[in-house]
Amino acid sequence: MMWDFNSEKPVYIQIMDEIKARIISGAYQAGQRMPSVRELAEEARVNPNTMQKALSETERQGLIFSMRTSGKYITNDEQKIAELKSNTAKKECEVFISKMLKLGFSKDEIPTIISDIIHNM
Amino acid sequence: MLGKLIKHELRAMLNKFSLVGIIFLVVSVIVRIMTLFEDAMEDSFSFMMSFVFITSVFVIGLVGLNFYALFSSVTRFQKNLFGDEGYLMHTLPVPSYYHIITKFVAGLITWIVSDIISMISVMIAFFGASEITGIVKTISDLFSFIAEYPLKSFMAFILTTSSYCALIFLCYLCVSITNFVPKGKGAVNALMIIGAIIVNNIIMSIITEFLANSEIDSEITASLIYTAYFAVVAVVFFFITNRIISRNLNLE
Amino acid sequence: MGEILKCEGLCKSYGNKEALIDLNLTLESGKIIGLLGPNGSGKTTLIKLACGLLKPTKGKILIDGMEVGTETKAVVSYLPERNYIPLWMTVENIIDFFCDFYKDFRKELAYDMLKRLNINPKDRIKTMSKGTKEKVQLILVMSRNAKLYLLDEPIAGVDPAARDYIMDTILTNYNPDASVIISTHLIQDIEKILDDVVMIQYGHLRIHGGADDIREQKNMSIDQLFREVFRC
Repeated sequence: MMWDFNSEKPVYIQIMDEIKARIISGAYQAGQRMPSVRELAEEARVNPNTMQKALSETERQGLIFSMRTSGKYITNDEQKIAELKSNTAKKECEVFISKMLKLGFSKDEIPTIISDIIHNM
Repeated sequence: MLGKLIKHELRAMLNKFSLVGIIFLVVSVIVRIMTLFEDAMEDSFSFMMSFVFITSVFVIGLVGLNFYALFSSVTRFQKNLFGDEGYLMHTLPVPSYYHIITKFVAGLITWIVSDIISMISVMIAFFGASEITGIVKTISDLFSFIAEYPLKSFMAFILTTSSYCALIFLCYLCVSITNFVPKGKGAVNALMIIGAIIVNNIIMSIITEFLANSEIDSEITASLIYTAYFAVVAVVFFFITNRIISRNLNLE
Repeated sequence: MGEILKCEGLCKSYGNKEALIDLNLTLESGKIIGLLGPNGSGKTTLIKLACGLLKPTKGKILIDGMEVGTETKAVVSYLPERNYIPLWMTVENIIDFFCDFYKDFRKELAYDMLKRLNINPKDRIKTMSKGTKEKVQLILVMSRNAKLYLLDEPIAGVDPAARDYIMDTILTNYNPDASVIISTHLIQDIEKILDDVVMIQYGHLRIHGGADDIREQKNMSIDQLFREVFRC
């Protein structure tokens, strides 16, 4: 699995985004045990300190919890995950919709365009 | 750590000299074989010429080998400590004066070994039974002299040693100083060494004058004075060289 | 976590030229630090001072709390820009050499890395291409279990695939008691693995901070910041 980062945004934030994306998509299951900081850093090819910072932040946001001896786990809190899902969906849509509005599409046109495209996917 | 430095330095010297040493031994065998065909030499002019040629090259080569061994110790000092290899050597966790001692000891050992190889080559090429008995007698004469005049022998030994040290450390010092000179290092080096030898000869003649005019009669005291002079000079050169290496090093 | 490198009022001049001027810098252990600056800025001078290849004109430089000397050389692993292995040696020879002088040298790790890069330990350095020589040197340097690694342009002369391998090696070798200082021009390639960034210009310290902090505050990559700060 190749993690891809750009250099303009802080790397730790990009790592957090990727972890959240994996939680949402189910690649990381609720309650699943996470690999060690070292292993994750190796996989993502980032500095272990940066990975540590990202995991700490994600933990602070309640999506990860640690057990003293056995490492870090994805939260079991289904509601939290659902919240994350809907917040992320909302954000992605807002970005898309404001872009479309800027391009001149109206609020009524947009849903039709979307359903057409999804229908054909 | 000093032992390891010397070990690696000898390995480097061996790498340089082993081929040369083997060639000399092989050529000495060839020369020997050729001498066995003395009769053939009288018949064939070309055979005799080639014998003369090979033997001349052999003898010149042996003399050259001796000087080259000594000369190499100084060029190694330059190359290994002030060239690219300096990045490796000066970042080793050893005090800087270890490097000076290493080059000195390894240079001395290499010189002695090359001397031995030269002698063996000459013996292989030319010596018959009478020459070998001659050598054995000379060696035993030497030992009896040492046994009979132990103090004189010891004085001669330390005098030789201290003057050798002075010369070598002079060369190391000159090499270290020329690294501050941007161009013409070889020439500056040679000039410095020649200059130092001239100054040395002046000082030596002053000492000799002094000894002649003074009431000092004993050979041993005179010898001691010369030895002390060389020893002091050697130590001073050693310290200055070490100071340059440890404080003023500036590799390219 | 301690101070692995500390410069106090550090100055170095060569005759008239002042290479480093009153440098005050503290670097912590457990970090990967980028040392960035244009040519002639003083980067290499700082690295050589840390290795003991140069002595300060004024001020101090401390490695792990000790003044630079024989003891610090035992815990510092230096990769210079040039080849420093005697050409007549084989890879095996130079590994034995390192084992003899550095107690922290990990022989099995070195042979492992050589195998991974398809380098035959019995080859002579003389016969190797420039890229291979650099890989051998990097393997030697990273096989030490040092407290401070000083890498001077580790990826400049190497192909992109080898660059990835080098950066992976730096990352997998990570040790919270050690720090790695990478001096380079190729900021784009390495900036993602940096914890801290130090920028030097004309012998002065211009910037010292966390890489992600800089990205957050200035909203740009380190590479872009470099171009801005050192605009010609």
